[in-house]
Amino acid sequence: MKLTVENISKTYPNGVEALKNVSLEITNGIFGLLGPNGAGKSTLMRTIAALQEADDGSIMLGDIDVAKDKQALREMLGYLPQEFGVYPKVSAIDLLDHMAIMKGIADAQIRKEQVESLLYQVNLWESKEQKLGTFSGGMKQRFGIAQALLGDPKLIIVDEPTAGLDPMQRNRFHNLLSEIGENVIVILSTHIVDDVSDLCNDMAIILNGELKLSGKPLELIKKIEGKVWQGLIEKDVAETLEDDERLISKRLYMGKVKVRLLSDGEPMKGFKLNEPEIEDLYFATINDFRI
Amino acid sequence: MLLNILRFEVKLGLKKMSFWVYCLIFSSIAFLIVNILGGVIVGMSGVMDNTNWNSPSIIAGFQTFFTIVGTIVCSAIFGNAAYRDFETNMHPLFFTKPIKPSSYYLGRFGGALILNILIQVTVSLALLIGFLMPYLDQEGIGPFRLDAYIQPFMVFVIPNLFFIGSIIFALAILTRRMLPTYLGTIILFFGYTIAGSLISDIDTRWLAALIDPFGDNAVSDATRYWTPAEKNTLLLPVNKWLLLNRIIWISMGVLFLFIGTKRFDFSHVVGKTKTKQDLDKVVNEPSNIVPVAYKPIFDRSTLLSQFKAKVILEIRRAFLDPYFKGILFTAICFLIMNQWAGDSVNGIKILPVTYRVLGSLTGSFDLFMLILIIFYSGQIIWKERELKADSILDAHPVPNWIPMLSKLIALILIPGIMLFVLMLVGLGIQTWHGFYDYDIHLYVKRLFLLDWTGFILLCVLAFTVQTIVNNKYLGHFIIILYFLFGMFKGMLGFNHTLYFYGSGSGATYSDMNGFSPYVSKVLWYKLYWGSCAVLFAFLSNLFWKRGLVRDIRSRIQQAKIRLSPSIGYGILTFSILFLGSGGYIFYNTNILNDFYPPKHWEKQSADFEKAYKKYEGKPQPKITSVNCSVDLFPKEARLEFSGTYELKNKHDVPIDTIYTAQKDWMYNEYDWGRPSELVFYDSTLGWKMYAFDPPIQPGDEFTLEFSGERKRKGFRNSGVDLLVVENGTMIQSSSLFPSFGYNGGRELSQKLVRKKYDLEERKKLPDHDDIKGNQNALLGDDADWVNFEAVMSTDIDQIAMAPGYLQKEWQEEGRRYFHYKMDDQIFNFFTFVSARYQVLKEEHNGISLEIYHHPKHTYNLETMMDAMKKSIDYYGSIYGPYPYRQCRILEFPRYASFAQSFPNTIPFSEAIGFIMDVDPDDPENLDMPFWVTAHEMGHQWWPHQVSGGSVKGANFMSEGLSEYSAISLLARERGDKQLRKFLKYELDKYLDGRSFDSKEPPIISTEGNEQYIVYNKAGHTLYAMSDIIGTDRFNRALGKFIDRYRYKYDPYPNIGQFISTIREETPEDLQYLITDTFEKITLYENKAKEAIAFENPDGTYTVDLKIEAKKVYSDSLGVQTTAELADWLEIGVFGEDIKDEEKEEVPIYIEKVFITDSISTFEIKLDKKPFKAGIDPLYKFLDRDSKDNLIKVSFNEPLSNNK
Repeated sequence: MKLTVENISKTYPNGVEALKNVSLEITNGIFGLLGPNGAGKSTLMRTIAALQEADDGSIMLGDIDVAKDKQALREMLGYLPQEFGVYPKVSAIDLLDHMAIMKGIADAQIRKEQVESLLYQVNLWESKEQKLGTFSGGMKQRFGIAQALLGDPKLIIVDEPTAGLDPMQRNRFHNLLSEIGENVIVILSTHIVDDVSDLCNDMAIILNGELKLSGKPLELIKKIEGKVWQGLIEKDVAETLEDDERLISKRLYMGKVKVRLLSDGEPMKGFKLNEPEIEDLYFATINDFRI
Repeated sequence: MLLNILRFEVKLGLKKMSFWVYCLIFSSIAFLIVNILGGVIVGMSGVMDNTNWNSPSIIAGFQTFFTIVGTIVCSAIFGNAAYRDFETNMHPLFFTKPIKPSSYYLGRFGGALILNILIQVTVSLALLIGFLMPYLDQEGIGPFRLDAYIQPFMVFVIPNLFFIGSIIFALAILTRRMLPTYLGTIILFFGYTIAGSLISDIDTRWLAALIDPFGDNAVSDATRYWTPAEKNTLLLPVNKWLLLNRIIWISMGVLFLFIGTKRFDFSHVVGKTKTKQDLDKVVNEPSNIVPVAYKPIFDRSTLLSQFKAKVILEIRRAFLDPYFKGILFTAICFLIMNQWAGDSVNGIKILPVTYRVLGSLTGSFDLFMLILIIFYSGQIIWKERELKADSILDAHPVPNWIPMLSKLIALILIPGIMLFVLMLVGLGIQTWHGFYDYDIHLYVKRLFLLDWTGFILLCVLAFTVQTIVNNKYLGHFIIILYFLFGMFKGMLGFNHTLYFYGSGSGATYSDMNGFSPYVSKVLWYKLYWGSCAVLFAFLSNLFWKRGLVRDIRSRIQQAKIRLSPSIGYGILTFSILFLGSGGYIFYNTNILNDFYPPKHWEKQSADFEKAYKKYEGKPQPKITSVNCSVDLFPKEARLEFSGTYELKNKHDVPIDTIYTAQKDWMYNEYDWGRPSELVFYDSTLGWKMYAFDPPIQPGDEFTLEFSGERKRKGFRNSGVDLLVVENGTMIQSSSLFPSFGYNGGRELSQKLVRKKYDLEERKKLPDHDDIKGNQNALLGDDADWVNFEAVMSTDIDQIAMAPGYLQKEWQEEGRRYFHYKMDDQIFNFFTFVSARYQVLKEEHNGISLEIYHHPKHTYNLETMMDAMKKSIDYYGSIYGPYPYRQCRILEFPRYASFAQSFPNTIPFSEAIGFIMDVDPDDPENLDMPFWVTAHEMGHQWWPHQVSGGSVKGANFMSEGLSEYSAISLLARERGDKQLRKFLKYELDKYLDGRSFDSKEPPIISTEGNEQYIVYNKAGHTLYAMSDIIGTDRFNRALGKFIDRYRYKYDPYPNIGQFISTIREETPEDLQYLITDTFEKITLYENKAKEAIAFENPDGTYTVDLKIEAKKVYSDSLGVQTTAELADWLEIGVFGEDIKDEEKEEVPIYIEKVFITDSISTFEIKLDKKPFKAGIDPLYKFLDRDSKDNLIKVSFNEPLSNNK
């Protein structure tokens, strides 16, 4: 199965250009979509999920034209939006069961099996009879994950799925996703770089509606190999680097500032060459380096 | 801080589009109404000849009306102010700021209140500016006065907004939900509706004035007896009840505000944590924990189970909601309370037969249903979006129609369940009253086949509007506008049912005739609007919101894509059905029957008068004998008739032309028995002129033979032709038989309407002593007394009847024939009746008394029979013997609700008398069957023996004397208590009626259409007069009068002769009473000032009573002048008595006193302990405020007991 996004553009009535001529090709496996808030990730994902129409361009899943045959897409879709609500007075198991019917699992026995199995996998088994209104943010998020996996989705879109999960749950979710991701397309949007480095075999970085970068993380990272330098410097020195175009990132570290720079040679005294990380790639991209 | 929040709220509100939309729409409606009243849009629509359109009370009425309609805007604005932060999850941000909760609460509330006030200000401004427009018809506009706008604004508009707002705001902010606010609104409307039911009963008016949240009924109570002059000049009176009403409801608002600020805090509401019990539950591992792919299947059966699951979900969500249970509970309480409130009006109780119970339950419930449907349509559609659950659910592989249809079904079920509950309440009420003749079939037909289908149409409309408008509050508002359009569409000139959604399915149920005449009309309209609703549903489907679509263009784009062939075929099919049924309806309303725009008849009447009034009074021959046959075919809704008139020129001049208002379709055959020629025919207005050569000489006798046919043709725009019905036909001869000369009955009567057509003010009937007028009969100049004979035929299972004695009855070709003949002379006015009857017959002093009734209506037959006997005996002893050998009461369906007397024949509607609930043990319970029968029996003397001519006061002699006869018989038979209740009832009806009449005449100048005089004032004052003069004297006068003038004509006796006969029997010192009663409009303002009593040593009591008396004369507009007092009035004392363990007031002292001073004192010695004392205790004198006639007696220690 292959998802082809071709020249998608979207401008909102208020003039915001959410997507500018975005093209992507996504195959089975986990695809990470990185970008800062407001970059257009959610718009892109909603458009792929057929919840929104693009002004231009087309999206094909296999041989399905998403804009024309939404139903066919939906039959294969598992979707977890970034922000969602649930019926507060229904128990987790009842709502999941209801959603399973909507997802085409009409047989009661089979449905029971899958619903129970999913609840177990997202670690909600013990709270399954609880009303969803009483769920904490993390529990609700896990419920959202469970519903996205209902049925047999061939395309799973998860928008910021790990937001609000504690490290243990996040780990558990990563395992679950990587297990499923072998045979289906999973699109995962996140602004947490680790999610991508841990999971994805493909990725893209999107900024201001434009696709800045896409490819396999390992290959992309090669482009900056031998160029990432790190040093621990005083705060007042760090301030002078504010406008330095080589600056990738800086963060406070034990009273000093840990600075990473992108440079062909040693940028400053005391800087050491470092293994590049996806994060460097991400910051480099959004800071508009030419890579 | 508070002010900042308030300012921010107002600013935010002013920035919103919706605020300006509300202002614009409300003020335009207000302006439009003014223009309609002012005769700009479709000509004159006002019905008030002497009350100005901008009189203070009418302005106040409009302002209150707009606050009532504005409740919907209130709930949007106040609800939004309270709920906005929760809806947008902003509340944690606000609640962590250093703001006092009370400032937040009051600031938001105040802001919303100001916004609402601003909207109402625009309404009042629109009214004000509207009435100042110079192009309005100035005839109906009084002088501009600012206080007429400001006073009600202060007294009603602002307080109403305040407490409606404080209730809505508190409910929304404390529950953090919107639904409770709707519930609050509904309860307010209940108060209004129940008050509306209570206002009709004299004794519960004060309660109505209090419980109406909007104050409308308090105003009605305060201005109830106001004359036109007072309405035009006075501001609304702030009387005790109105003031109390305002205090109660403002305090209610303050209370809610107080509770709200007290209870409201910024705490974060967290979900309830699991209780320990739940955690301890043993949780088994699931049967399968390995993630396996479960292949979904998408086929028809999946669709079906998806649909089923969604429907169940929607229904559970709608109905298991505690608020829905709350609404149900409120509805039940409301239904029961409203039923209780309307149960007995002025002591008149009607048996809870199914159609009555249904009528009173559903009537008041419509508004409730409307609110419920409006609110729930928004609620159900917006639920997911408000929970933000739509982002998940919209991505499910489910076609749009599944969520859409399941939501629609849930919405449709809401009125269904409500109606079911209503049915249970109805059955409960019937059972509680011990009435077990339930008509379950009628419940089902009325509630589910007629009403529910109507509500379903409304549901679909509201649903579609919500889907397409895509803004909940705007959606609500649009539906309200649609209803306002419905209310005013007639005024705007739209009266064809084809273009008002949901119309055309009104049907009156009659126990005798079922729904039969309406069935086909209702079905066609249901089909028509049903197809329209299906088209709406397709539209909602196409525009169903899914995913993120905002602007109209892309929604239309999307709808185009969604328009699949199957939807296309569906739309096509139902469009064909819609147009087809619409076409058939049009064929019925406009081709089979004539359709007329709203002012058609008005214009016709004006044209007719202009063209042919010149022939008024031209000598025409008079009918001396009628011989006719009427053949009814009830199943075909058809009749054939034919007849022969014997005519005579009773004038002393020859007649060369006969004029007749007639159209060609009326008669198949129309043959004069002498040479004649049709010389003129106006087919539009219906006017024919026959010339006779040689002319008809004085004394000439000749004949007219005529025949014709009437048949119901389909259905009309406004109802169904009910001339011949399946069971229970009742036809008056005037709708079949020819009449001659110009008949003024068709003329327009309202001054302003006449002015519009350049007609002079209508000439009234001639004065009572007019010579010409007294040559013509009361019922027109076609005939004096006539001979009558009729052959009727009908279906084999029905009995057909006409006035007269049955000569012969036979069967022929499967039909039943009856031959009736009257041996006395009667009026030229007959009735033809046919139905499947059961007959009750009794013989009384050689007179056969018969009641022809619907087999089920046996409840009051004995009373009616008894009333016939008593009337024959009592009236016989005063007015001379009953003239016929037979007396028949004939029941007819409730398409009309009157009883009418013909000689020996009294058609009597099933709605009155037959189903009255009479409790012989309750003296407060008016015995209507007895009274109505007695009244109709009175007509057997008045006017069927003594009748006035076509002059003023003649109708009074017929109706007024029958009413007097009935009351005095009732007093004789049923006692003082019943009489008191009755006098109070008549007094109220009279005072109420005169407040609407543009020109009240004294009795001597009544024309007959002043029902409040010829019935109510007559009943009241004639009885009082007989009581003061002495019943024997008064009755002797009546007997004398009837003996002098029995069957007299040319001239007919007139009211002047009647009055002088009364004067002959009246002592000198009471002659003033005759003048006051008949020749003037006389009112009293009597009042008890003080009543102090003490107990004498011998156990008797002495009461010192101080009273105030005042007599006024009123002119025709109600302007009063004080009259000199030298009158016989009545004082009295009531004691308390225990009867059946209940306290009751009994008169222990009643005395006539001659009063000349405005303040008089009396010392009264009594054997029994006094309780209340005062003047006119039995309501015998016309007094606008009779509540202050009596006061409680206060006790002083007697001197001898002092230590």
